[in-house]
Amino acid sequence: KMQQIINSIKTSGYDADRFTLSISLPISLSIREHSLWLYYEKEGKEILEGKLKKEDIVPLKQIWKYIYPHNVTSEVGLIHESGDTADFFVELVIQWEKDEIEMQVMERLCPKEYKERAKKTNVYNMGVYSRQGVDNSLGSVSHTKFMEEFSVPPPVPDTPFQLDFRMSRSSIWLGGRYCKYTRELPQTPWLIKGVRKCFSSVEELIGDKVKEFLDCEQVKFLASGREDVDVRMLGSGRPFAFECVNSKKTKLSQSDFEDLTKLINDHHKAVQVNSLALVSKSSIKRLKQGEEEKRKQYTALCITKDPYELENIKKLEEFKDLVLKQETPIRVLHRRANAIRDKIVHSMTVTQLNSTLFKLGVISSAGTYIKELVHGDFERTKPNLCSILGVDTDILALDVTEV
Amino acid sequence: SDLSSIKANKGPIEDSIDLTEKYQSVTERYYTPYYKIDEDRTRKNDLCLQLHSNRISLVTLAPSHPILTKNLQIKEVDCQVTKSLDRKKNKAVGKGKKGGQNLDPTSILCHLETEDARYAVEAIAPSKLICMNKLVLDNPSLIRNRPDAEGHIAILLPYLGQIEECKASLLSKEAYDKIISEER
Repeated sequence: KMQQIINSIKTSGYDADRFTLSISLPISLSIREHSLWLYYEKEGKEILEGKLKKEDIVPLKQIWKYIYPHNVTSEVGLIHESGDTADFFVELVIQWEKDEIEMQVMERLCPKEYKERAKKTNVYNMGVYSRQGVDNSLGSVSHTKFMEEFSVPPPVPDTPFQLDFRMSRSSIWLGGRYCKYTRELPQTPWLIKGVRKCFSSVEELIGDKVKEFLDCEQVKFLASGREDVDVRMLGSGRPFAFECVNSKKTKLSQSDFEDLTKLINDHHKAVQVNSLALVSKSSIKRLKQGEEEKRKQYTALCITKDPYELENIKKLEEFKDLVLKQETPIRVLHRRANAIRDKIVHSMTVTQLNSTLFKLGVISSAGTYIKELVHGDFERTKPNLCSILGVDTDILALDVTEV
Repeated sequence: SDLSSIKANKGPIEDSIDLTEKYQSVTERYYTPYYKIDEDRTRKNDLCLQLHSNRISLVTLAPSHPILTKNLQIKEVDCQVTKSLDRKKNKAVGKGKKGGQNLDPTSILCHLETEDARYAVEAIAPSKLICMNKLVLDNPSLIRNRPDAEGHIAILLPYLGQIEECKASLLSKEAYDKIISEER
């Protein structure tokens, strides 16, 4: 069976060169170790008294850890490391069918404790018994009581053990920037009461390919802010990252990045990525900070109710660091508290298109609602273009040009 | 529709949308109107619930209301509904709008005081009051000049479980337009 496991590790496809081998033993081992200790105490009283305590005995698991992994290393072809330094974990699991039955002696030894745990099903949903828990409980049980319920020395197991194993990997993070060239795709899956409103999303169009390329169990999407469905993301794109859980491939060469970029970009022309790289977990913090701190740049296509005077519109370019008071836009009021937030419009540029149409360039602080800057959201955003220009102004389209 | 129906457009912003499409105002783009007309057809205290796609609703006057049809001046918007209930004091805190006053369809939000009559504005939908529109409290003429935009009277959040029943009890724009045109 060990040979089977070793072969599985070799053919698993994980591109690791280090691993950590651990073992999980039946919990009834704790009871048996306790029983054996009581036996040695009784029989070797004269020799042991005062010289040896239960805690001095090296646990079986520890001895296994000292000896066994090194035997496997050469066959598996990976360097063994103990502790948290490796990123590839192989856990051997020893199971015994009578484990649960033997554990039930705990209910008789510490009835109050284990009966209570049996009731708390959501805290103890993985099982009422744990190695730590059992060791602690046994500490409070008297020798005589223990010997009443469990044989000392422990009985020889009469059924064989089962050996199984699990392989897992620490997560890696893949970062980059994405551009969205359509006004019909949401950033993340759009579901209302469990029903999809749009058949895909930026997250899925990129994530599906990342998952495929790295051969991982799951990908989790993070981005530095987001844009609406009907807003394009242009320029160098929005920073994003995927946490790749349990991926087979974790080492990427320059050409791997190029291949992955091409794989994603060929998937759909409306979603394009660039600057892919593996990033550390700590850079993810900066991703979220950027969302709150960085300035953003936009282009808005604006329309006025009546023909405007270019001179009047050009006045917008004179504003520097204009402070807006934005009351929560009605279109997000269902999920945000009704509050007034200060936002800053650092600068604006204006380009005339025709007598009622113009392009507005905006640089603003993070979190500024640009659509509401233009039409005012029934004056919940003040000032707004309607109030500044003295004419009803509305927004027809919005692009994010820099994040 | 599927992925193939979505096209990539990298051109300038003015080429990225269909400019020939008919222009729709903010209210027309995001809100669907539902009408509650007064049983008393001489008084015609007709109201409108503008329902946003996210369920937030605005209470406004319907186009057939005398304040709009006769261009009446509103002297005051009185939010003191009873001796102990002042709608202006409403506080809806946090995402869940905790503490927002509970409203039935016939709960009175405020009274509009004109020269000849006093109109009661009802909530129309079973909902939580998010806020009265401060703008119209200071400037009542907005109700007359911009009824379905800056002149909305209150913002409510209808209860999720009761919104469908509520919509069914009100008139759609089509039904409302038909009744009003037949009245003339």
